[in-house]
Amino acid sequence: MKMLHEERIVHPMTQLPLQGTGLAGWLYASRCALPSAWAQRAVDDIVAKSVPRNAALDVTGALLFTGARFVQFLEGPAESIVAIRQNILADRRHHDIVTFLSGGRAERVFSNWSLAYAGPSLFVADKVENLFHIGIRHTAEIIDLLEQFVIISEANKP
Amino acid sequence: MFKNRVAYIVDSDASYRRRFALALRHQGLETRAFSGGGDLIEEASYLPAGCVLLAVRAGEGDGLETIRALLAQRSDMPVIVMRVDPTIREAVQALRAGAVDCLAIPCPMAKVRLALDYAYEILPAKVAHQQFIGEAAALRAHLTPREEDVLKRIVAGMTNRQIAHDLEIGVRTVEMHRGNIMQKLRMDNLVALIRFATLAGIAGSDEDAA
Repeated sequence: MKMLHEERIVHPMTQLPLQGTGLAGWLYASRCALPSAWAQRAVDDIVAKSVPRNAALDVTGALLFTGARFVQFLEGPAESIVAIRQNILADRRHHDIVTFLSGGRAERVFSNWSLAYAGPSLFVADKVENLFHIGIRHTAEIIDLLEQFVIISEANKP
Repeated sequence: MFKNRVAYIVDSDASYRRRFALALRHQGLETRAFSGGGDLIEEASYLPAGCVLLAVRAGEGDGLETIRALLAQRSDMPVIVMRVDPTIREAVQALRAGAVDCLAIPCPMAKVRLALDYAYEILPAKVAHQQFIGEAAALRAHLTPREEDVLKRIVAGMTNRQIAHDLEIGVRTVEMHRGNIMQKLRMDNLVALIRFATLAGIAGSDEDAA
């Protein structure tokens, strides 16, 4: 399969080998290739398709969209993560895909997959930009950010 | 560039409040300053639409109640929370409570302006939405409780026959209510009816339409 994008890897592959059905994770950020007027619809479309696909592949995690960048953390069986990763790398709706974390995971952080946040917040955008500037030391912070959005929205459910 | 825009500053720190108000006026904004969220909430219904800059100081809790109370009255006002060294949890809670952003104190004016640019960009649409909600609430007042029962079920996708069965009334009676609802709301189609029900806060029936 021909990759449509050059994938930049900031973080070296982590300790555990990425293969078989072991638990794997992938944290990446990319740039939205669509004009902002279309971006919201693209996010709705991505979410509508991702929910059933990720559930079928036993993949959990969260997506975040700042208006300019996507950040997504995915975790699940290594072969599922590899399959989704190929899909995402071939998706023309985003480019400049940068991997910050990739490889085996000891345990899951998320119990399902959801859209954590899509909006204009500068606070969120700054945290994402930090990833690019300070890189791997901020991966834990970004996963925490995704997790807080998910936890608080779960808690607010009636 | 912020001509004719109003910003409402809430901050218990008097000296920072004054300096911040001055800095915003230099950007062309009109400002009103309040020493606490309660003061703003008290006046909220009478104020022209504007952006709220809500400082949450140490010892003042999470500020979420203030955000919610304010938005319950004025869903058209974008709220930007400001605090010293906001944690991820504090910022996410504020956003989830309905704030458009969370900025750190002190915040460079360039960043404040970026946040305000967005807030004022969405303000007209929010004001219009608030008006639709007000109009929908006024129209809703014309409906009888029975008509609301029927409307809820129409919006939930039930047929006249199902509604009749569910409410234990005749199909003809349902048809009559349906006609009256359409007439009172001055609507002639289901899409408009569903939009009205959403704005008026009339949820669909919980019972399964099947």
